[in-house]
Amino acid sequence: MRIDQLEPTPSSADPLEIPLELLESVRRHQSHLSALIVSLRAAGLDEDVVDASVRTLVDSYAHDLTVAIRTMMKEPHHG
Amino acid sequence: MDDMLLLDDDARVAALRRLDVLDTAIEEPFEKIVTLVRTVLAVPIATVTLVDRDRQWFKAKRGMNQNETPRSVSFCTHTIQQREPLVIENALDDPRFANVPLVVGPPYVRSYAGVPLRTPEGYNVGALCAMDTRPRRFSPADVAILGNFANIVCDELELRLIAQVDHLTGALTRRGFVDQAEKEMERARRYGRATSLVMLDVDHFKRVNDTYGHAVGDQALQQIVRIAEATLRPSDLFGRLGGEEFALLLPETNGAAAVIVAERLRREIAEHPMLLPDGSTLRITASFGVAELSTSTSSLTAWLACADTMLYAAKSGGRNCTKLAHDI
Repeated sequence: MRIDQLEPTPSSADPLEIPLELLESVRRHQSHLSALIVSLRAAGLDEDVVDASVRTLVDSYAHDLTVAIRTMMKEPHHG
Repeated sequence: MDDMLLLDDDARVAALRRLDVLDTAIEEPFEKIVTLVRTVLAVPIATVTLVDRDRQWFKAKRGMNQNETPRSVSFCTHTIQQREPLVIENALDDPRFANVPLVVGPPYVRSYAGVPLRTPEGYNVGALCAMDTRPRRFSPADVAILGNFANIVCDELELRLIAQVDHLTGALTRRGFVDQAEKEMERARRYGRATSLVMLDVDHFKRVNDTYGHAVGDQALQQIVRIAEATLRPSDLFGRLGGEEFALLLPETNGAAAVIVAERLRREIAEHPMLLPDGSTLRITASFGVAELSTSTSSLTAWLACADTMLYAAKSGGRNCTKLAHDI
């Protein structure tokens, strides 16, 4: 899975492969985003507000994920 | 078992410090979340609050001028003592909050909803909060939305944590260790507390790799980290600096006490041979160098160099032993 394959798709993201160590956390975030969308809709929020809110969050997360992956790529992994 | 974690404040504070987020600069993801909470729940005040040992510190805030307040007068110190959200309809009706500064003075909080921010290990390190200046009944839908935003905050915090962890062993990476050790060093200096640094290097590790292969070498490193995790306190830092070299930072510990800790760890490593895939065993040992923080220690780099010198002395002195720096 790559960063640009997150749902919803980030506005701008490098097509970096997400390392295995981060996949579980990323999937959890995707599931939390889905739950947030459901709760925002259930509260009767306008669909535009829901879309804008989720877009904001996914773009921030994609940026942080990029930084985390680049940091991990710089660390040695073997003895 | 899980709720025992709610009672262990030392371990909770250690988990918070491992996140390495206290007293950091403004960060966009958290700013966006509090903005969204304020908009979506139509509240004047929203915060990402982290509860330190004696204070609550706001990682992000809207409608709140203070950067931090004493923990004793905070709403969030109550929120983190439970798994469920804390909801207060009218603070003036609650004796815990009726006279606290945030209620009787600016921003004149009257109602509060807070959802605990839980680390992957299960510690409540803070809360995502929505507050109003008038009495208010937060609906189950409001609390559900706040809970979902809180999950996103936790995801962001977890992302930072994972990036600091060495994925072979689970210890901190060099970068993660250095970042956290620098903050701990500053804290120790500010409060005049004894703190010690220990460096550990696996003896004859190249021979282990050459003889048994890298998979066994990796297994040896993982075993050392498992033993260290079982031996050290939650507040101690443990990082892999590279290869077979590790470092420990022991807060509230002078040099003599750090030697006792290092010796205990050294014995545990030596007394637990590794079981190899063919059923045979392999005894691993490690050497240790210890240096206590002193007023003349100019930087973390200098401190690490001092501990490293003592590690070299331990290697030269026959390995599988600990050497303490006496004057740095």
